[in-house]
Amino acid sequence: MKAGTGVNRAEAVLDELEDSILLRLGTRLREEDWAMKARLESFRSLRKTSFPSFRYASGILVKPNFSLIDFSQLSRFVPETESAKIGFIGPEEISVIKGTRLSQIDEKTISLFRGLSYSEQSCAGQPSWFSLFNDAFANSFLLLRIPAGLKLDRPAVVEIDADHLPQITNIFIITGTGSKAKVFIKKRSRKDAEGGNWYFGLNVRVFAGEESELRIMSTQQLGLGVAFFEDRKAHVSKAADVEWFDLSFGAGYANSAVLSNLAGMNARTGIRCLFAATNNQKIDLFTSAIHAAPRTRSDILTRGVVNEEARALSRGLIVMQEGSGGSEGYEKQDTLLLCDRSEANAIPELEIRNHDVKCSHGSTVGQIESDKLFYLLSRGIMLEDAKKLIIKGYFDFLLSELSADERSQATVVLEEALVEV
Amino acid sequence: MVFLEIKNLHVSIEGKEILKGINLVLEQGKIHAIMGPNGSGKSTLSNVIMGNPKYEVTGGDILFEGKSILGLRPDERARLGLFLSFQHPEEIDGVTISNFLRTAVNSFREEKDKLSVLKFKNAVSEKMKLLKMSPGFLSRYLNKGFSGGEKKRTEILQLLMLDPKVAILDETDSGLDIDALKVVSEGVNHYFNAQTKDKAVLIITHYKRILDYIKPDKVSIMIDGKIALEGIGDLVDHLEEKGYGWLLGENRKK
Repeated sequence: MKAGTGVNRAEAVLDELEDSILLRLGTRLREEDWAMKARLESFRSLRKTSFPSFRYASGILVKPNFSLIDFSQLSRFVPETESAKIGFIGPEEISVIKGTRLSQIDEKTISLFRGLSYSEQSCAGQPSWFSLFNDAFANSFLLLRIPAGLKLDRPAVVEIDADHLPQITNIFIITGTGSKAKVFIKKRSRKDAEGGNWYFGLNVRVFAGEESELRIMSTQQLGLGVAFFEDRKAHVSKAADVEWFDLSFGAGYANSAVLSNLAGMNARTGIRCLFAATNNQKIDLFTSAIHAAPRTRSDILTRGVVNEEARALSRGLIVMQEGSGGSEGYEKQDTLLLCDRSEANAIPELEIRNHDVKCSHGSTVGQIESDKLFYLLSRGIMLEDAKKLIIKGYFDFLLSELSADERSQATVVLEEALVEV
Repeated sequence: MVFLEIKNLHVSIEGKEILKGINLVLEQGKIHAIMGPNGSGKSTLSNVIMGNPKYEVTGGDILFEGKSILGLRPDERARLGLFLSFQHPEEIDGVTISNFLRTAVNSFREEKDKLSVLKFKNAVSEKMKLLKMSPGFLSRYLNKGFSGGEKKRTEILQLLMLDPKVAILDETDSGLDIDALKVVSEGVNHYFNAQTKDKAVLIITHYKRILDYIKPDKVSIMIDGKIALEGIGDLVDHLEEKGYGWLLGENRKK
């Protein structure tokens, strides 16, 4: 990061970040040399990367208030207890490593993820700064390895209670050839985690082996005092299928990126994101599929509602690379504004470098139709309840894709969120 | 007892006057039909009674049981006992009839009396049988992809479940074949002839045929935003024979 670009206190603090701070962190954590080297590599890349402007080709600016985030207290990033950071409940066949040090995961596994190309240059460059920051300063780790051929019906549940903030978590998931699994990641914090903008960073990296199927459902119910930076990437091998299903309702500021790199022939990804924002919440959502191999398929749908002074930006990108012949991609972003003061924008983009592909996109930003509202009110339903019915109906389009069990869990989360909206 | 009284009601939409001084009284235990040609303001009247914010009341008043309801929201009017069966019911994607109707029924009830899913299903299945609707209907999205007949049956199902004091039926007969018209009319008569005999119906229609099943006590003919003529049942036969043409431009009262 260039010196002098920091216009507020936080950026100035970030300007002053030096190797020595990271080295002190590494010493406290007793990281092994290879792990320390990996952290330093991320950190040095970070210092070469421009700090995000949060300005895209959009009419609205969705930017966190960095002046409230205390980046200078990096020592606090080291957790006092391991168990408080990440909870895991899941089928015992899944191999799990959980801890506060990168060294707890073996070097070979980490180098597998570091060697993957996710074509980040295509993603407007913006989210990578925080992704690198999360890699360098992570204070909690989880590795899940699903053995080859294993097919699991019961989901693995990962719970991150971000009450011991600031929290920076890296999750690695490897699915073996022909395996099938579901992972449910629950992100929560105290509702009253207000009064200081806590930083919560989460990187999720997936390596989906050939012909494996992975479904990652994720709920985000963080308190309004949390500034959340999430970067998720999947490497999808030949004939593998990775589905992301997000319900994102919390955090004062949420910057959430999800990308599937369809690296093998016949690979597929589905990305579903539901979000709701109210009060002064800000949401910056980025969804992307990179088609790097022939006959790959992507299907991206986002739906959100925005109320009061909240702002939401939903950016989507499908890239059809040169070698993507016979591939199909689709992205659609819909946003419903509940209030005249709310702001939202959707930017679906396509980059097509192969003419033998099918690819389309669309977006809508609209308001609740007054005739529909009148119809519900005329049945005695009160305004707030009528709006909630319409919102639930709006989300049902995506929720109907879930299994009965997933849907009932999603409904509980949605009902809780709608109390606020 | 007078349920609904409309006094010299003037209504505009986007600056254009639609209703030009409507007077109407609907009493408990009575069925009042409003007939008239297209564009005479019949649907506007029903929407304004229910409180559709699209319309601006520029003069007059609407009283329900003696009190003005002009300042009330549509949901408040509904909870007082008004119900409108829409000419074109809205399609609401993703909201099942079951969820919608249970929310509506419970909005009339105190917290302790709210219907559970099971109790609601028992109550609604009885009404659905009456309207010859299959149980699977409850899990369909509200009016989404419904035929004209299915939409109107669903409106009457809501009428039976909410059991209001006053039912306003806005062209409930439109889009119905003879069999469906009969079923829907039986539903309305079931509502009206309930043991308590304390209901009232305002039925808006172009045609005589629904009035063969639902017999009005009084008929008002609306022309160009005014009540042009009032009478009793035989007026309907007269209209069937002569059409509305002879009334256009006259705006006179019998």
